[in-house]
Amino acid sequence: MTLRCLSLNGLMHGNGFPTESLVRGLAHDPAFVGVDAGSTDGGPHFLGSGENMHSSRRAVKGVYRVLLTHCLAADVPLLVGSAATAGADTHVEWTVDLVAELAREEGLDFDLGVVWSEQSTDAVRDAIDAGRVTPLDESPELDAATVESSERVVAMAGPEVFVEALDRGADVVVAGRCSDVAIYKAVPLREGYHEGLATHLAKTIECGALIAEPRGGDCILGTLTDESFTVTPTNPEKRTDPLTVASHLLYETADPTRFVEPRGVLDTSAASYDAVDDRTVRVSGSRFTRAENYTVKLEGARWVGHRGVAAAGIRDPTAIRQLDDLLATARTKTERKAERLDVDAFSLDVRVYGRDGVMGEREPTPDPGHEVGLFVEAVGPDAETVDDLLEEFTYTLFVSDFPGRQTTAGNAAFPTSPAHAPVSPAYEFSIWHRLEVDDPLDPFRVEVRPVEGSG
Amino acid sequence: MRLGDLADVVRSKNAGVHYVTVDVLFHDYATFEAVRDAEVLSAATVADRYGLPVEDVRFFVYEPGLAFKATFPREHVAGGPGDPDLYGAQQHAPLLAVEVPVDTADP
Repeated sequence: MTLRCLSLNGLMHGNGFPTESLVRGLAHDPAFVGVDAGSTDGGPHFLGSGENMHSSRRAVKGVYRVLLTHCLAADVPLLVGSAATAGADTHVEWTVDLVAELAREEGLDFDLGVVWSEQSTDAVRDAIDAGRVTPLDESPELDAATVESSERVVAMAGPEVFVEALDRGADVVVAGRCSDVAIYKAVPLREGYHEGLATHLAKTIECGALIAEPRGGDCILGTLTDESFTVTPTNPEKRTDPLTVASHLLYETADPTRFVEPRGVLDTSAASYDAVDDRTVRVSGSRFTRAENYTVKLEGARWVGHRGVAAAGIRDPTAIRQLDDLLATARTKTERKAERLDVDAFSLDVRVYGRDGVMGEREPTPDPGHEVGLFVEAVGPDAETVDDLLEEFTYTLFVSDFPGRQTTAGNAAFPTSPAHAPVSPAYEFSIWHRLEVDDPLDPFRVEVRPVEGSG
Repeated sequence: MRLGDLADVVRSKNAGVHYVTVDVLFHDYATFEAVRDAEVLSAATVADRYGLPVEDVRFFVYEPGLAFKATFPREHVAGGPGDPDLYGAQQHAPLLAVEVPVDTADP
């Protein structure tokens, strides 16, 4: 048995991938083309706001146009995971609309699989009551109030949702939140391949040509047999070797040999990586241990207020020496103003670049240079309040007296006018938990609908 | 020599929203082996450089990738108010200065 699959690139966005790499990959007659369109890497904003991180609609549509036309012409199923960044219902709808619009413009007829991953407040609350929700990593226990305060909650699907959509005839699948591995593991699982090898292959190609050099968004062809798998970039200018392939398992993961997935744990500690030629690597020895209980990750984001920011530079050496006192004075004055305005909940964070702005308390060498940059971030209940608080902070910073002060005309340099500005609603990750399910499809809704673009 | 002068890649990134992970990669086995055998890179070293309790640091020697890896809790949940490093991409720098008792990058 041999199964070939094509990974487009690490992240579907408006920058796309070289079309020639897709064409070359399709010439190998892959069983499917996969692409991951989502990430939590950009932070909680996209799940919270429902926005798409990846460029403009115009740019993303251009990428989908190339993808859809080529995959449908070659009669190769296209699997898209974690649509439009966060994979919530609004992201899936956005992508489905875009795909339908393209079908009309290009006259394409096909069956579209749609996977919905968003969870209702009631469903999550019931799962908590049933003892099926446990904290992931350092998260606290989940309570109903946190669920109710979250803007959106998604569950991260395993490969079964794609299998279901394909079984029901889908040519193209747009999935809400799902594991990156699920996209590439579904077809091998459906065809009965070794789960260790299939999972390891999926893990290896989930970021496309990130396993190849030179690095950059591009396509990877994977070939799976019963004994091993190989990976090859479809762009002839890219190469892989055992080191580039093995070291990808370090990327954005806590542990390079143990990967927890909904169906169980991939163990790569006994895997071996061998060069087939200067562009292809063969991998074998991967193991998979099925978990006793099937679990999916829950992700939620909640609104925490409106965000405003200010930037400032300080060059005066006496002010830099007494900077912490100066900042404390400005903070105290801001807190008093908040009291006068009856604002009881706000946050004010100041980073001192040039000293410890990046590392904070963990900076081993917190020595200021001859100038420092300040970045001030305030989050409060509304834009007007944030504006008031930042005005107080920056004004106090500018005018406060301190021992030995010579800079009596102003303590800081502001690079913008106004010196502070509103940004946008602010969100934080509120849910990062594990949900135990009886059936892998339970938390998800899978539908397959005809798209008749030529009609 | 400084670890930063010996390694080919020293990088950090989020591993989920609660952890940051730091990877130190080498291109040749000899340098990887020399650093490993010098035993100056460990959970304890990482804990010391970041001011963390040693039990908070998970440390891995990953031979297939000629790499070392350390994973530890973030100060803030990624991307929330107060988090200065959304992607966790600049948390590696304190390891660059770790002194490794080898003479050259090509032992």
